[in-house]
Amino acid sequence: MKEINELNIEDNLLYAEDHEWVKQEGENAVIGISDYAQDRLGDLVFVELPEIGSVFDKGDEFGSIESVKAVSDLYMPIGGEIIEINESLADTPENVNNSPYEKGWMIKIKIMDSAQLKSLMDKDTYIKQLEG
Amino acid sequence: MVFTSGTVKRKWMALDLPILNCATLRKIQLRLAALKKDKILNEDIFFLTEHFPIFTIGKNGQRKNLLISEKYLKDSGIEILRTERGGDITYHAPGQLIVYPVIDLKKNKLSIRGYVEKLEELMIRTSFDMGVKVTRVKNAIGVWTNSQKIGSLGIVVKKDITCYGIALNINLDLTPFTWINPCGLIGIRMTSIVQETKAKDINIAMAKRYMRKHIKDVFNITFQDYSNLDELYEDMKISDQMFED
Repeated sequence: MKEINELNIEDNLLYAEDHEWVKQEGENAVIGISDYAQDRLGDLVFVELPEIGSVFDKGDEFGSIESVKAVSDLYMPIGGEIIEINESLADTPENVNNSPYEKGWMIKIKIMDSAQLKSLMDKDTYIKQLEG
Repeated sequence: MVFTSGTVKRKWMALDLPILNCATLRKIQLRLAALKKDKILNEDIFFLTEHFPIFTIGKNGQRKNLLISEKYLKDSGIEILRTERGGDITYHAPGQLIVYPVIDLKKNKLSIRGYVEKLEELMIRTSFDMGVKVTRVKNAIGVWTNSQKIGSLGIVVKKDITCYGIALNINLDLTPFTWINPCGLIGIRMTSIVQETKAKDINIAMAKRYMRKHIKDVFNITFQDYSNLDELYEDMKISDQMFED
């Protein structure tokens, strides 16, 4: 497992307590899981994502992942409607491990309430949480 | 005045149960996990038990890994159950030691990967105590003798609360494993402690004794024993109503 200072925690993203990242793109946002999360999960073998058009509140389960014989849930860092999912993860779940912020993105949503973005952490705050 | 140093160990509640139906324990675990997730219950619990014969398939497992026909399955009298855990298909029966911790990983300072390694470590140490050297194999979770698998693993984690766990083959009839691709792996063979050692005096009670010691050491915890579920529920101040659907 990587030490905290070996992790790639990107500058321009927001992070949730459950280790999802959010990248705002106007009214929309792209969501995935952080380098810390993928590292602590181990090699992913399965990614289950929601249907396009589903609507979730902040904190709702939106899917699940399986790694090292462990199934874990994914949680919405902010609420929104699913407008796109990364279908390539069905065949290449390992992209979440190899490229958590680019090829490993999971869902794109239409943001329900942009004020919820304020509840998320910036890079420095997120790293402090990881160190804590 | 004497001061003790070091941190206080977490205490888990230990429930050593006789042979139990897998579906029953599934329901109990999921409900306890839900109570923990909702912060109604703080205690960490683990179950030590055996299951009646049953095939179980993980959440993302594939039915095609059951190699026998529906009729053959029906004639065998063995049930099949899809569960929430990771991993593919496996077989449980009396003579196989089941350890299912229902614990909060965050409060126990464990990552998922770290926790899985500790579960494997429990099987490695317990097997070693009974005379079988087993190891991890890269990219194949579980524990193995040279080329045969002796212990399996599958868990689910919701908001840091995990359930399900490990199954270590002690002295069971391994035939039904040949009717499946265990864990979704083609062409592998399963073994057991008794098959490896040929020792006739090895049994589940002995395996449980070793396992209990290693749970304490590997997770650096103490535990309080309960002999039945009612006693546990009473101490947790939870009622049977909480287990109604």
